[in-house]
Amino acid sequence: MKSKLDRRKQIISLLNERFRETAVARPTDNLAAASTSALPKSSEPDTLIPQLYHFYRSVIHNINSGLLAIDFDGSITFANKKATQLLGYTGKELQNMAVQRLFADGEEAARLLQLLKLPGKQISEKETRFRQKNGQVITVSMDAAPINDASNQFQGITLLFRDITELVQLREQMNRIERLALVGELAAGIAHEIRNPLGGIKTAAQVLRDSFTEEDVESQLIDRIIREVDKANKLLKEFFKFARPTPPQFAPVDIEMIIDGVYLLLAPRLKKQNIKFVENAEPHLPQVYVDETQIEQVILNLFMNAIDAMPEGGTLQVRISRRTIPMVDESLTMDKSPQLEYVLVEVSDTGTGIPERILPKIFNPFFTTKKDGVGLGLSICSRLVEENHGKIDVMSELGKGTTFFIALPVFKQ
Amino acid sequence: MEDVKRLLIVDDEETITFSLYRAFIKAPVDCEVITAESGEEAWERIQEKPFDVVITDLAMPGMDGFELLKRLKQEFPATRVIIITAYGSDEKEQRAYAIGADKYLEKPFDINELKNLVFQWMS
Repeated sequence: MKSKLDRRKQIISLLNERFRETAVARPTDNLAAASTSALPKSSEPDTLIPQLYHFYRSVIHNINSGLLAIDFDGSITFANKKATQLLGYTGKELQNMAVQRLFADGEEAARLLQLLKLPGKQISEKETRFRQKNGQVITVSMDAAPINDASNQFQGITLLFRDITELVQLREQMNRIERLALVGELAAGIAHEIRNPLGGIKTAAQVLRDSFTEEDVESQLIDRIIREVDKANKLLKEFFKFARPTPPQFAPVDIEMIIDGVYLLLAPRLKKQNIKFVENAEPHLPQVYVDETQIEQVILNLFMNAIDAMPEGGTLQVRISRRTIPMVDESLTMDKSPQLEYVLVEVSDTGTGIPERILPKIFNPFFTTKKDGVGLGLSICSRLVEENHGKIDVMSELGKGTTFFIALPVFKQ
Repeated sequence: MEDVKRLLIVDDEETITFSLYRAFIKAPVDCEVITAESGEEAWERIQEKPFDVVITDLAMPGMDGFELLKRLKQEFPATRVIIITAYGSDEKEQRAYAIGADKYLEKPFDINELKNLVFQWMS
């Protein structure tokens, strides 16, 4: 089982990646520096075969994609180094393993294998999911082609695959933002349309009101109509604030000040609900460059969710730290990369936790598990953080609690 | 100088024009109330005879409230103009005042505020 610490590391590493994507418009591509070392030069047959063997072996093992060879029956006969890294098995463990075991969806594997037995069939850039040895599922982009012998008889299949889990997560994030923007626009349009008839109802009711005296029961009923219209309008106004946030007014801000402000606002509620507040801030934190009001709204929302998640009391913890990451992933470069800084805010509760199956949906607009919720809070948080050039992520364990991670850009003089 | 004041109400929402008409014909000042359902119709009425106060919606098919406001402020600067809108925003409010609106109200508004303002200008 993956420890909470590992999951936190994984989320922070993913945040690094996403933050870098936003902060660095076009990272330098140093991959082009890949070696084009020469093919074996000897032409002596005795030495040529071993040389060729080593050459191809080296190429196959060093390509940055997993490669599997599968025989007629679907057993793995060969795995390159990258395949063992991506799948978490040793080469020996993979040897003779039924390839279906690697697929998260066994039926899909059987279908693919059947398909590839058809003459001339190839699969290119198929997105599928593999299960690693530790049970974790990764998304891969897979190419598959049949291996035929000299007489063109089907002998097996080669599978070439790349781990695109992070890419898929980024894509989902983008889709979510686009969906959110679209729904926001639509909903705001509808909300405006509602204000027109509301205006008509209120005006007509007020005119009608003048026909009665204070004592008439009709007056009281009309007053109720007017009050309800005002209530509906107030709701709409709140909604506009969420659905169409104004463009951020960027300024250098002390994040601790925002957190303290929100804490003070909610202190009576925390006390009443027996929730302990713990803040751990790294000393000498740099200022962040964000819209203060908008980030305050995000923190307020996360605190309120945390409070709702701890009806029996608990601990609300905020950790603030400075993070420095290379501007370009150094594992991909030959040189030292310039550094990029952000401030990481972690808001954790010891509450009920969020079930794994709904975790990917919590940032979706109108998704809610609360009886009285509208389902806009977290989707707006996500939108506001993105508009402030930050990133947001979450990890949760049922019965133990939830942590939200927010990466915010640092103010540069 | 004429004693009878003139008020024009412009909105494509009939409930609004009807209700406002009912509200202002009972005015304590001697006031002629006319309604129009579009910017074009309003402009025709205005050219026939100027108004003291014009209450106009912003979003209307054809000539919108901004265009009507602009024409009014250019050709009839003495006419007071109140903007009413269901599609309000800070930008629209600023734009309305920049063109010369005398008041900007978002729907649903308080009719008493509107009446007080109109009667104050007319008295």
